[in-house]
Order: sequence, then C-alpha cells, then structure tokens
Amino acid sequence: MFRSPPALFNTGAPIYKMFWLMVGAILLMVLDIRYHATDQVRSFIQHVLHPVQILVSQPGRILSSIGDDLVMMKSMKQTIIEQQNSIKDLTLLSSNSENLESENKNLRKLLRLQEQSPYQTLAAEIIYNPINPSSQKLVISRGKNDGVLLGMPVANDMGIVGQVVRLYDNVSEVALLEERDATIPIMVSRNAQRGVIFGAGRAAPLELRFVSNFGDLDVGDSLSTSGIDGVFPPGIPVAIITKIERAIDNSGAQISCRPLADLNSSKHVMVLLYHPTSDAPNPIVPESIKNKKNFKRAN
Amino acid sequence: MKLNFLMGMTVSLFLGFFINMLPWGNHPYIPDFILPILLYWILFFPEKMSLVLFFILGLMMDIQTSSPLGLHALAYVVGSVVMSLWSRKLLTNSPIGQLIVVFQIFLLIHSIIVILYWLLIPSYVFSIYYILFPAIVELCLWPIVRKLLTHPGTFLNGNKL
Repeated sequence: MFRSPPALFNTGAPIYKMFWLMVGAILLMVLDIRYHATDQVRSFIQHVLHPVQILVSQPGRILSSIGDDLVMMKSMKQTIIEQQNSIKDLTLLSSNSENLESENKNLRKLLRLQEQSPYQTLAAEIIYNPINPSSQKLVISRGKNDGVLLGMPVANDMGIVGQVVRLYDNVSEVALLEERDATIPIMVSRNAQRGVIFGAGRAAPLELRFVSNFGDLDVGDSLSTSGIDGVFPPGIPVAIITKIERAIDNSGAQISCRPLADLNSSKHVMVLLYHPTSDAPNPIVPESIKNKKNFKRAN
Repeated sequence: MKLNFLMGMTVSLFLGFFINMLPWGNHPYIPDFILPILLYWILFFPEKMSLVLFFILGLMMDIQTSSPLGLHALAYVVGSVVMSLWSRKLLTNSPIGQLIVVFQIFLLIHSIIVILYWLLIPSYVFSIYYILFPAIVELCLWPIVRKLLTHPGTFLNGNKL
C-alpha cells in the first residue's frame, strides 16, 4: 500500500500535474515553431479573445477621438481650406495621370513588357501592438474573411508599414518593417539602383545591405519598393537614407534608413490586395512567403 | 465561501488579463499584470489553486502577445508551483523577507519567458533588463494587489484572512 506523504511536504503543489502541463507546453511550442500545426488552437483562442480585445481597445479609442475632436475644432477652418486646395491640385493631377496611365499601358504593349497588375486596398484599423519583446508586430482588424492572404503588404498613406505574417478569421498580425530580419527589396527612386532593406529591431534604423562601397547613393535618397519579389507592388515609398558610412576596406557601405511611414503612431493602415500579374513567372505567392521563411535570414 | 473564492480568483485574474490587453504599446519593459494576482491566490490558497486555469491563462497570453504557443503557459505553471511550494515558508517571513521571496519568483517567471524567447526565436536579442525591469514593477504592484484582494468585502465577502 502507498502511504500519503507527511503533512509537511503536502503543500498542495501537484508536481505530477505540473510535469504533464510542462510537457504539454513544450509540445505546443515545438508544434508551433517547427510545424506550424497549432493554427486551430490559435484561431479558437483568438475567437474567444476577439470581442474582449475590441472591448478593451474602446477606452483608448474614445480618448483619442476626443483628443482629435478638440484639436479639430481649433484648426477645422484652416484644414478645410487646405483640403479644398489640395483636392483641386489632386484632381488636376489625377486627370493627368489617367492620360499617363493609358500612355504607359500602350508603351508597355509596344515594348512587350509585362503589364503591372492593378490592386485594391482594404482599410484596416490597428487594434493593438502585442507586448512582445521578440518581435515588432501590429494586430489589425481584417482577416481571412475580408480576403487578406499571408504575405500581403500593409501600408499607410506615407509608405509601406509591413507585411501580414499570421492570419485569423477576423484579425491578422502584421510584422513591421522594424522587425528584426524583415526584408523588403527596394529601388532607389533617383537612379533605379536595387537593394534589400533589413529590419534591425525596435527603434533601430533600417539597414540597406549588400550595396557596394562606390554605389551612387546619397543621404536623403528615397527608396521605394522594386516589385521584383512579386510580393510588394512596385513604386511604393519605403524609407529614406539617413546615414552612409563608407568603409575603407572592401566590406561595403553601411547605410541606415528611416521608414517613411510612422510605424508606431498611426491608427489606420491599408492592406494592399496585391497579386502579381497572371503572366508573371511566379503567379502565385511563393511558398517561401507562406512559410514566413523570407522573414528569416538564410543561414 | 467556495463560490466566492472561485469567483474572486477568476474575476481578479481576468481583470489582470484585461489590464494586460490594454494598448500599452510594444515596449519590452512592460510588466505582466497577471503575475502579482496569480501569486497572491497561490500564496493564500495553495491547495485550491488550479494549474489548468493558469495554463489556459498562459495560452491566452501567448495568443495576445503573438509569442510561440505554450511559452507563457510554461512560465506561469512553473512559477505557480514554485510559489505554492514556498507559500508556507513565505508567510512566516518578515515583510521584507516576503518581498524578497516574491521578487525571486517574479525573476524566475520572467527569466523562463526570456530564455524561451531566446531559445526559440533566432532573431531575439537577450538583455538582462528584460527580466529585471518588469520584475521590479511587479514587485511594486505586489503590496497594492495584496491590499486590494485581502480587503474585506471586495472579493472574499467579509471573510478576512
């Protein structure tokens, strides 16, 4: 017969229970990291949490909207006049841009270049930033049900913000440009020189790597997406060069950039529902993006 | 009494979880507001604590912070078991001694979380302050939480400990 332990050690901590729960937690972590097999558990818990997340984000939203109202009241007249002026300018520009677009299309046809696929945008609200020291992410209010796919770029009016890395039914997680090892292929707008920008972690400047020491780059050059990856549509502003340190040896220049979009203080973003053209060599979103592998540096 | 106790425990834990869900921004030094509440309930009711509840809470926290599933769950379970092993000893200590022991457990839980991040996420940069800062803030919250939860009439319906 087993005897129960003496009362001194019987403190109520079920060690065997802890053991099983620890094994369960480790199993879940392995399944999650190695095999991405916990999507159902995740989406179930996310479903339970979603209404609470919305509820909890309400006070902040109300506060900020009140603040906006107060600011708006002061400068309403001014902004209305400014906006009317800018609308006039924009209508002029847009009428011109239609001409340019058709001209561009015809020229591309003549040259037998690929047509750039048009894409739609989907406005989304930022629900919150997850408190997570290992990554820079946003949770936005659009998900699978709204037609968002993994790997879709996310931007605001200033430029690219990040990329969708995890999908739920009604929300999705966006890895910011700042996320360590987030990569985005870019092109210098001035001279169409290509490169790749890497994220360097929270509040650190982005790095433009693999550029020769003698490349034609300058502080203040604006960088936009090049579109050769088939994930980001071409021509969207990404960052601006803030510092160039040219090395004496042959190791290449160290170039820091600042993202144009304000990554931490915007309220709304747009998901770009971008699919590369059907004639393109890689019509489907590459498998590597579905696996989020492009967010890891190749070791 | 039993119903009140369970209600107090779940209500206060989920309250802590809601506080965690507030838009704090993504700063690595933000504390985990559940931990003082969790440790309070284990300290005074080590026989009645429910490891599965803490496990589920940890899973919810993982989804909320978009970290690998099971990371916070593991830390909460280990921390709560250690706390329950020490709970009798802790209550006999002087107030300062109690604070030191509680601080050790906060440190333990945060170091489990940080070490797991470091092991699982290759791009994670380890910093000792990611363990120290949240633990210090939680230590400051501990007396407040304890005062609030032991206050007669709030959760325990007049049954003062």
